[in-house]
Amino acid sequence: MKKTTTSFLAIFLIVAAACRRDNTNDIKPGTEASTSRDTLALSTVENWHNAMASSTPIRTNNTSAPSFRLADASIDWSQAVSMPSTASNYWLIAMKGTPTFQGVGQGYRKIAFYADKHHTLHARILEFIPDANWLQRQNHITPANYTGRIFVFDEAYNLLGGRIFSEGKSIGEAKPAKTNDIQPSIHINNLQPTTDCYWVDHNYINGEGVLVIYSEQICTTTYTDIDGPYGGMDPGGSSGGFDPGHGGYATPPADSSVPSVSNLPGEEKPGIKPRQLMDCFNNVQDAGATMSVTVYVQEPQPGTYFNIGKNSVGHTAIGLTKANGSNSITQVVGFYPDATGMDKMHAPSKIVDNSILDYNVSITFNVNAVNFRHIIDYISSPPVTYDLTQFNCTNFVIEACLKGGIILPDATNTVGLSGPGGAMTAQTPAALGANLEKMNGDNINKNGGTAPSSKGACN
Amino acid sequence: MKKTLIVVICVLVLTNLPIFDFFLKENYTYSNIDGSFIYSEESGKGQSFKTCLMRYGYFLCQHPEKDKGDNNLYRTFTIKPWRFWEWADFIFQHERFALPYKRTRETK
Repeated sequence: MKKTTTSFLAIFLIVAAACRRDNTNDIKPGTEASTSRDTLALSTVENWHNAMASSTPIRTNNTSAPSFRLADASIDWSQAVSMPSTASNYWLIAMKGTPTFQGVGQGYRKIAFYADKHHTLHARILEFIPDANWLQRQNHITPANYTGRIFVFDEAYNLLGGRIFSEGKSIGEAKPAKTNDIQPSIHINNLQPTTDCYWVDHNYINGEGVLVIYSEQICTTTYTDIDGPYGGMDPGGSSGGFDPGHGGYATPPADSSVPSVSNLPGEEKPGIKPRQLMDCFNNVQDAGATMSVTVYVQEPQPGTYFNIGKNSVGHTAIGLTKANGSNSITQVVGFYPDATGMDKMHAPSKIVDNSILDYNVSITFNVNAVNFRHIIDYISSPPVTYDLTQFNCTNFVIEACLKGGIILPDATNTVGLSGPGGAMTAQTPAALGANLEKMNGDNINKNGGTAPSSKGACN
Repeated sequence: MKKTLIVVICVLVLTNLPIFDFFLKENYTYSNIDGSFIYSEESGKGQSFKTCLMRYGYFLCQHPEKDKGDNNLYRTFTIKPWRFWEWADFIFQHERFALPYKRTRETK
């Protein structure tokens, strides 16, 4: 019995000594971890984290944002959970901080520590943003049914990429947005159905409170009538199906009877030159391009027909996207009065870039090249007068869509007080938004969000 | 006296409600140092100060050369404290007023 006890104590001391050696390993970031076996010890990770205090790189890609140092991050090691993986385990720990997505604080974040095949330790910060509607319907979040986005950041909190999941399956991806590095993936099929995928810039605020700009791949499936009036276009042909004498989609000359908005006084006013924005689409080759039109509505009081509310009178904007191969251009614009105070009732108009517009509901249409050209021609030379009741931002978008053969739901609403002549009516964001919310379809987004950023004027 | 006070308070509250922003609120405008970035809140019609900050962050990412040196965002509107209908902004959304002021060619 005594011999057994002595043996047990000896074994215990050996094991304890081995553990102490493991704890005192001075592992520098990026050096090889002491892993003679395939199990990554939490103490190894903790030592690695503590040792990187003097060597964590500081993020420099946005000087207006606070820098992040992993070594300074508060990590509750007692919450660490070992997760199995094919090569070795990794450690997953919840972090404080909530991302802000679509203007709402939602989701959570975790940090993962893992060793690669060279036994070098790495950390990745994972931000989980579950789909809000899905989350409300679920009682439990499991990997098998997860629906939403996961963004992955490196040790310096630089976005590495992300995935979009639906019921546990990856249905899309995200990557850091870079200037002139949008990589659209277009798959054109002349047979029905046609699936178009393109990258669109989006953004959200991560758990550190820093704006993250990323590109998200969006795929839509449409059923094209290839025998329709414009469906027989030869994407590879020289004419593009129309206007062969002017080089296909060459921009028509400006209507001299309509003064350009660029003639508005004041160079530093936020009003933009719509033709410059629309001309950007000429930089994307027509043959094989996919074009879409999105109507964004910011309702005055979301979910109601009230013409005034927390968003004042609301707003309607139009977004155009043209994508082809490695080029994808999006422009989001709105129609505004160029005046102040009560003069806004009836005033000269201006077009304003509505990038990152907070909207409540949107609807997207895929259009052919001819209709797309009609829409951008209309926006390039917008009506010169804004009238709050006769021709406002909603009228402008409705008219633009009509030019492209798109009929939006009725946006007529009663405005003001009814008098002897009856109630006055106008096309309003409230009515358009409320009627869009009554519709069903894959092209309608009732969850709201922020509109993508415009490309802006092209040189 | 009490009646007058109630009327004044009611006017203050009503004129500061967002439903009147389109007509009453100033088009708060912003710019960077060289005017290559400009933004207007359009009296709350689809635009906001939060969106301005996001747009400026995006602008700096797209134009890293503008992120060197003075990368401050400036307000190009003057503060008008007598505008009682904007007092709610002064109190609840004061960040925009804390920005440094920059005169534009229009205001010079």
